[in-house]
Amino acid sequence: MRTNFNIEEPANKKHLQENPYKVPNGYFNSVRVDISDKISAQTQKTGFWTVAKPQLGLVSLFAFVFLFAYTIFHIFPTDSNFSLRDKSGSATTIIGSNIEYVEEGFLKSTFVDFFYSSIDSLTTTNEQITEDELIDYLSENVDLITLSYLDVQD
Amino acid sequence: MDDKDLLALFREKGKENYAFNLIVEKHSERLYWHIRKLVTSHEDTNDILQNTFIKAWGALPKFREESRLFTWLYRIATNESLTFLKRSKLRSFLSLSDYSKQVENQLEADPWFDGDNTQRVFRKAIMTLPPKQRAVFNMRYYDELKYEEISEILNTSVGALKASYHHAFKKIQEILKESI
Repeated sequence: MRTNFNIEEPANKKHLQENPYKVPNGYFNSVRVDISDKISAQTQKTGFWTVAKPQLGLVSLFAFVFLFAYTIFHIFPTDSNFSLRDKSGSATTIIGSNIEYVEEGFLKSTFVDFFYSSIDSLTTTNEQITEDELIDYLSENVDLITLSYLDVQD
Repeated sequence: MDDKDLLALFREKGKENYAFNLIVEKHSERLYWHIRKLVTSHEDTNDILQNTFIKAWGALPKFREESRLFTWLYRIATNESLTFLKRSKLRSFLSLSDYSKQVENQLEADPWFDGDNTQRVFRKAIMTLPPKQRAVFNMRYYDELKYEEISEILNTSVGALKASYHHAFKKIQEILKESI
């Protein structure tokens, strides 16, 4: 074991700085050709197709998602015979121009939601709500736990 | 032709490929040795060198000559090498193998290593350093670059580089004292 070996000592440094690695014969010429070929291939690739390809990919993805959703709503349709209650309480089926929206697959649920939400809104009607109606509504829509909580509050 | 002329040629329409081939011809050998000293294996060096020039080709139109062309290429090559070393270390960690042992074996089995025992022990000692410290040590010890140049390449302060080189030097010196 030698303890006085110093890598900064000029003789040692000169020896250690010598390149201990080799390369295959003609490597530097061949690597230049390889790099040049790769760059030429990249340059040729930058045509219309290279630019359009990712964009077409994105468009096809959106089309696929849309068709997928459309198919799902067709396979599992929501109830097409729906009715609303008019002021007198009797059931009215949606007919006429609205029916075409109803038959438009997924648009149906969106339309129905919109229709019901406007009917349910208290702000859109001047009708007085009777106590019986209120109790009916609460019994259908409010769960037992909430009702018992209201009891305690009273 | 110097780097400024090569860059001017590169900016002439229709002469990009020709100018870039001249840049590759001028700088590839020196960059190769820089990468090789960092990653050791010839095959890995070859891949990194090619990636370096392909990245340089993509980025050269935006090169604003705030640094010298060679410094800029050196920076790309160093970053590519450090990324490669980081990935190798992670890969060996995930496969539960001993990375330092792997590196040591790589040097022993390298058919393109032609050094004597002192040089082998020295190279092995360098391979024990963390990748960035190894890069600092190589650039200072082998390439004899100034700290200011290394600072430009690694985007690290001169003070931190001096400290890093000092630690690397001490560590290698210790290993060599025990092994030679």
